[in-house]
Amino acid sequence: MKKRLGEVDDVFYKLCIAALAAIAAAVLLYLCTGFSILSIKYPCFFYYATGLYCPGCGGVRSVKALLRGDLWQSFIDYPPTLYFIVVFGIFTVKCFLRRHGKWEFKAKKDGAVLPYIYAGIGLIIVQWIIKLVAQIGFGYTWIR
Amino acid sequence: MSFCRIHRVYSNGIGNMAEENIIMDNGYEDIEKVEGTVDVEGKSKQTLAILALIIGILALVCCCFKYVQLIFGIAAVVLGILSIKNGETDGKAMAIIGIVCGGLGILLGVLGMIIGAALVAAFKGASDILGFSSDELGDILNNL
Repeated sequence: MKKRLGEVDDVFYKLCIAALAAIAAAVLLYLCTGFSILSIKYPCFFYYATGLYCPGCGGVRSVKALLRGDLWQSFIDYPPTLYFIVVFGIFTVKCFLRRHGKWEFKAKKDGAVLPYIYAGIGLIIVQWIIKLVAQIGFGYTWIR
Repeated sequence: MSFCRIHRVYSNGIGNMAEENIIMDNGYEDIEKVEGTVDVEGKSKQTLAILALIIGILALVCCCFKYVQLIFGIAAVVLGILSIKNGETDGKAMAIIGIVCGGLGILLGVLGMIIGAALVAAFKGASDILGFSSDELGDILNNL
């Protein structure tokens, strides 16, 4: 019997399913036509305008490194990539089992995933500040 | 012997839900609580707050795209304010964080546009003064 999730969990669960569907579509496109979405260049408007890194800089490189199997480089390029993949991966599996499975989980308050999302936002901002300090203070080119 | 099973769903219109299976055997009712129903008594809808949070995160990481970041940022701030005004008390934290992220996205977008426009104007001014075209000046600067 399908069980109902709380409002917040339901929205994020559906978003995760939509993201998985988009990834599956991209993989199918690559297998059928050889065209990779990651091959499209995404020049960062903020970086070209100001010469400074934006909070999202390094995300695409991080995903490419992850697909190559280079976890360390993926983490160095953009730490939130790995963090959100792990958090939302576990969350999606738990919600799927709660909705469709026979296992009974301990009753959780709706929105138990929210603290992890807030921590992820904090991680995005902290890593952005570290990159800016390295770039402005020490002239270090973080993203090559 | 007569047997019938009645499934009732109760709703008071603000999110309270309860389901019951009523099994009638020989005229005697036996109410069986359906497993897995979520009782959301007293919880207000958090749709606007959830949207504000998601769009706020997108505004923060989509600095790569010129106007997308501004649109997401404005949308996040507006949705967050509407959520708080509508009295979505359970999603207040989400709304506030959505407003903060959206505001940061707007700030970065405006900063990028101002600095970018100033650099373009300075570049054009310099090329006019020196008597070169913009392309020629660009080549000279690249070769330095």
